Amino acid sequence: MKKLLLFPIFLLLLGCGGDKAPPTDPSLTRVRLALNWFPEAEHGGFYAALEHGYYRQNGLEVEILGGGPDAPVIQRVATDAVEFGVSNADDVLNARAQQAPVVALMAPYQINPRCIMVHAGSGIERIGDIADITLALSQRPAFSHYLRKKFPFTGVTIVPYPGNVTQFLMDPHFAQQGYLFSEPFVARNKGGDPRSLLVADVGFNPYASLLIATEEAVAQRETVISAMVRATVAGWEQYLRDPQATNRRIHRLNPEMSLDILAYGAEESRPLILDPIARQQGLGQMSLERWSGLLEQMIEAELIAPGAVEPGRAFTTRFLP
Amino acid sequence: MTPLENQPSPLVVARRLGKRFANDIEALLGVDLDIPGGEFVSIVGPSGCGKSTLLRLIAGLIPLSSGDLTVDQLPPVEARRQRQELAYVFQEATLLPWRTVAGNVLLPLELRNQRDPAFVDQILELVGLADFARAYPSQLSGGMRMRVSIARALVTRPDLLLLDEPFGALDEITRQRLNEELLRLWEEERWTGIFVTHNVYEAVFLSQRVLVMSPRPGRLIADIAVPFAHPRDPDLRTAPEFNRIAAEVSHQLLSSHIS
Amino acid sequence: MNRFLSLFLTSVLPPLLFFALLVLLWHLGVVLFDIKPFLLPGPLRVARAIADHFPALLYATGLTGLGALSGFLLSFAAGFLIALLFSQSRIIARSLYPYAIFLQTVPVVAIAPLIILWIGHGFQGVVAVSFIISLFPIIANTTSGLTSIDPNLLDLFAMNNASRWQVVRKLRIPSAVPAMFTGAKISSGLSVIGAIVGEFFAGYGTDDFGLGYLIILTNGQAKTDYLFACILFCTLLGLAVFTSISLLSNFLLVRWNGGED
Repeated sequence: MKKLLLFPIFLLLLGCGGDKAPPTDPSLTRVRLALNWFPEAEHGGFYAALEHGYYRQNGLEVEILGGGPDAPVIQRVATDAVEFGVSNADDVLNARAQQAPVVALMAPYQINPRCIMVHAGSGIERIGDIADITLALSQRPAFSHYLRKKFPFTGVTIVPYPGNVTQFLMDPHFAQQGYLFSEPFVARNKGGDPRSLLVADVGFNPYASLLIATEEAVAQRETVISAMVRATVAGWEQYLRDPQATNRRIHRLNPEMSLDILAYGAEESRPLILDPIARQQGLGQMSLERWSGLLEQMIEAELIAPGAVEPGRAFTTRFLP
Repeated sequence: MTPLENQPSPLVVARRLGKRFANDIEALLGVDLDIPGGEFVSIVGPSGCGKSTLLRLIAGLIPLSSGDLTVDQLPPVEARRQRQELAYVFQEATLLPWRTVAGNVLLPLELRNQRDPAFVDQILELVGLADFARAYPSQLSGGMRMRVSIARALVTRPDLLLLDEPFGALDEITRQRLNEELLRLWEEERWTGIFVTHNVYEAVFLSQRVLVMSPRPGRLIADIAVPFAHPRDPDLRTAPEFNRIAAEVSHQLLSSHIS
Repeated sequence: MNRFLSLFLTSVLPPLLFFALLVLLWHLGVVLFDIKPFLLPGPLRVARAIADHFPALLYATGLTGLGALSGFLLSFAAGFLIALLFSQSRIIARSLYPYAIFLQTVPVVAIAPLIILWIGHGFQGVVAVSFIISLFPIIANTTSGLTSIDPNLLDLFAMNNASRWQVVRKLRIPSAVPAMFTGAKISSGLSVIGAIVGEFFAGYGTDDFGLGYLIILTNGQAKTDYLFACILFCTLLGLAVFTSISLLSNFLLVRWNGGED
């Protein structure tokens, strides 16, 4: 009877709070990494680095803190509540417009997984062709404003994003935003006919799952930053090679994510991470061209005032291996 | 309905009337009562003796437990609904605060789907509140509110007026003034009046008969006649005969208490 | 004219002065501690945001206010009828009251998506959420007002052989008016919250937007100064609603409360 009770308690202790290795070496530098959502496949590389000991090997004791809706990642990093965070490029630019001194260090996703999920039976093949249906978009992220500015969306009723696929399944004239390997997978599993239209394909493509830190940390804790970036890149490479152990870890932390959907996520992420640039220059690269381009798009969509942000200061590639 | 005088049989008749409440409290036991029409009768008794209960039984507000009780030979509720006009004056003025004085007095008529603003004004005149017809109860003194309550009771020209210690909360001077006014009203219209009080002097001043009740469970233990003629003078209160009768009532009260 | 002046000096000026003091302290705090705008914008930045987006803020406040007002009026009417029903039948009251309490305790963010699914997006969804969240105080207070009657008054009506309907019309309902206003004061504030939360889930369609929409937008886009401006307008809306009801209540309840005003 005691053994029966001990096991769930053990699991409970494993799963509660952040995810960290059992405390040992005082010579390791302890840092915390705040995620921008619940642990999912988009965070695979970070968990892989933890799972396979890359952080340890590079002298770091990393505690990964799960996030959720409206997780205040930028605020926590900017106020030094945590040392590192995970964010997207558009959020970084918005934060810098409000004078939050955060800097992007590496970009796993060269192609943003944001998509619009339509019914295959609707015949809609491009985002620009969306018309005469109900479209669920959240006004939180930048991409929805960009799309609404760019496309006429004639006859389209925009409603708030419901956070599930129920309405999509019920209504053939319904489309919604989603993440490439999340909502479409769930919809298909429930018998729906989803078709994913990648937002990046129409030109709006912020880097995703960025590793961020403060300007001050970048200037004054170069060794730690360098170690973190190095280990994280290795983690993402590992995740693409073999995600199984990492996915098991993620599943333990977030049982909502089945191993199936995590495996699917890892698989679908490969072309988004290993695009031609990554193959050529290595994982995590960022360019001024892309950051400037994104800033232009956001200024045009009236999300950021002109001159409020200097794109070159929003990121640095000098720690990339 | 005009008041009925010189009735051949008593208006209110009670035989071995008893009332037991749900919590097993026996308020009244074996009450026998005869009140002819047009008479003004007081009921005095110690606190908790059941005199209010008796009044409410006569009004038909609560059901009796044992014995008989009739008003004009009908059970009280039927009498109230079909024949007699019964009116009740409560211990508190019990006015509707959102209505004017005139509105409050008009209420019983409204509930009978009648309207007679002229008569309302007349009644208010009678109780000396004609100038306050448009005032609200919150703007009146305690004595004035009680007068409105009485006016409201009188507006339906009742045959039987039941009064439950209406002046108990007022100061002595106001109480005496209102006693005189009530007496005048009765002398004018000669409705049947049953007046409950624990103030012996008040009872003797107003009534033609004073009934004394025993402590709980209440029953009537004395019936004392008050033979003074009407109209009565306020000075009556100082007459030796008055005080003798009052003393006898008090004596009855006290002796019942001891035994 | 004199009356308005004295009213201004006693009721309006003190809160205004206090607000000015708060703004001053806020400004000093931001300057002295060098607080960055993404954490806490200073009053000047918020003022600029208000100036920059004034038409949008005004429009959004109006639309949210309309939704809240509709939800409130609906809940007042429905709540009144339900309370009337409860006051007349003890069996119905006992059977249904727990469900009314459910309205009070269920977290609105949990049921709002369900409501939107049934009622639909847009204005009707917003009004529905606002209605649900503001219903209970009306039911509770009105039921209490309708049933807490001085027993002597009930006896008075009995003495006059009043019918059940006469008692309801001439005694219970007027007697319940103060309680109804208490319920209305609580409900009016809740209806604003309900309208905003409703907007989170129901939206308004392609080009319409209320304060709820603006809050999500500014929060998601880290535009904290604009967000603060929205919060200020939300507060003003709530204040306006509450003050109107209070003034109405003071005006109408003079007779119940007693004395010349």
